[in-house]
Amino acid sequence: MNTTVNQTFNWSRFTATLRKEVVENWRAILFTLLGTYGLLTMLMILGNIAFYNANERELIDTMLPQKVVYAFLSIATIVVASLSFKKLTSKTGRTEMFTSPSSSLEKFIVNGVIYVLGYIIAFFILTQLADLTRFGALKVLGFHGFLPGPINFTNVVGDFTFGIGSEVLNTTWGKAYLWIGLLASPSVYVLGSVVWPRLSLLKTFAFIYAIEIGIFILAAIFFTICGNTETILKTVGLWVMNHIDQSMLIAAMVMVVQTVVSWGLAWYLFKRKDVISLKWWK
Amino acid sequence: MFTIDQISFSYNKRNGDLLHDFSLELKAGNVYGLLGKNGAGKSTLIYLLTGLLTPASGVVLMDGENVRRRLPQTMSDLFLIPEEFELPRLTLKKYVSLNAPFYPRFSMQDMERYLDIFEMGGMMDVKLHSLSMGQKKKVFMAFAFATNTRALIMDEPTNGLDIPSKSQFRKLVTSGMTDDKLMLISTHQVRDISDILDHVVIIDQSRVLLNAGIAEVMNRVAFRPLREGDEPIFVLQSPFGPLGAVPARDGEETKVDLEMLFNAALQNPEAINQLFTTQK
Repeated sequence: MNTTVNQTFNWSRFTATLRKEVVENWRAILFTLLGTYGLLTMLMILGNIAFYNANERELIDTMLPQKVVYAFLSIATIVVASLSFKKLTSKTGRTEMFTSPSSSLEKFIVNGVIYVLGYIIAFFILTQLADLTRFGALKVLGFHGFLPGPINFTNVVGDFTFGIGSEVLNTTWGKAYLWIGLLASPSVYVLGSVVWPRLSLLKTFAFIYAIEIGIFILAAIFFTICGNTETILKTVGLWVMNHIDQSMLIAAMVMVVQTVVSWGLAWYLFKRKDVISLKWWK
Repeated sequence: MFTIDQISFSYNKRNGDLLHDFSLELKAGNVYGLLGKNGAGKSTLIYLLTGLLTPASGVVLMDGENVRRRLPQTMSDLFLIPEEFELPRLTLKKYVSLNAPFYPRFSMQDMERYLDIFEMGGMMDVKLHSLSMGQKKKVFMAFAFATNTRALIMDEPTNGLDIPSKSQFRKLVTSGMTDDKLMLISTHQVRDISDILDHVVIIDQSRVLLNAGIAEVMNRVAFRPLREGDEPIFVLQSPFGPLGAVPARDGEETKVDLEMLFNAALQNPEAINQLFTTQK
């Protein structure tokens, strides 16, 4: 074997794999981006018109578009991330993916780059384009009640209120938590896409909720045994309010761990996949 | 080139091993025909050879490297033409430009030559999704051969090809073969490939029933109308009287009838084994 070429990661092989994946899937990628742009534009125009027509306009949050965009971004990233290994759903797709001469790490990163990082970056660019379209379209229609815009995309995650949690999320670590969350949420769905290539979104969603219900039940049992639920919750709540930065730092760190574990586990399982079985426990 | 060392594999433990303690050596310079009944494990063996399945025990090595690791170096020297495949919605030229960089020995001249063999020359600008299934297969095979990987493994390559294309395929194999290459063709259409094989491997129920060169088969088995005194391994009734696979007498050489050889190996494995293990 030629040992001079790195068998785990090689830059030229990586770029060739990235190019191949993007060009071979250009239609799916184009439709995803067009769909995102269309939905964003529609949301922004309708949101703007609804705001202008509202009776008590002064009570409506002027940062509503950013909130809508963040909510849409959170949902869109997990939907797209759950498609990152859709090629594994068919035997022909698995055969092609596993026999192509790049390393499993390169193939794995390429899919992550396209469907997670690439999509998040594309989303911010599309947000700007959609906002410009809103501005232009409403101007052409002779509409005068513009919401502030174009939106600065750094504001999509940033200086706006979240209602109850606003003072917590507007801290330095609160913002860090939101930014890291943008990677952490889809990373679980990337893992889901490797584990369950078919109906990945639904299965991962159900799995996460099953875990959350499990945690809730365990907590309920714990509090029942302890018997002083109110005191514990008050103590924890007080500690969070008095240590906002520390609590958000902990939350951000949990997100970092979740991201690293999800990506690491997804790669490990991807390497172990074979052409016939979709069983992830093999 | 390939060493299959005591591998065991099962899709479902309850159904027992499909391959059990299975060993086989495949050497460069040969066009192997892999024959076996439905469910004998031909496709499984192909997947194991290309690192697409993991044996429960044992190992498959290509030039000493475990293929299951699917290292880029190994995969760039190994091409699988599966029975079913998909091609992207691109032109052939674009497909080649995207995939050829992964294969260091890829040759554009060879690609054009192989397309010419399939009478598809000058079709580099054709959109792959507009081709028929047979045309897609020919284009894919032309690309596979042009990669010049040392191992080329084909699963039912003549399925979906029309009659002229089958003879073009034989021409493709003979023109693409060199001493440092290994080709393995798994098929049920033995008549399509009987003239191009120089080695035949027949498997059944985890066993290699026969692993012999065509020259050796010719030397040991004769395929002809039965004569008095023959002790046939397999008999086939034909309109012209019984035909049989019989131990070849001294100096007797006939064209190898793969179908008859296959049936003989399945129906009378002990006789075949004895015939090929005794010194001649």
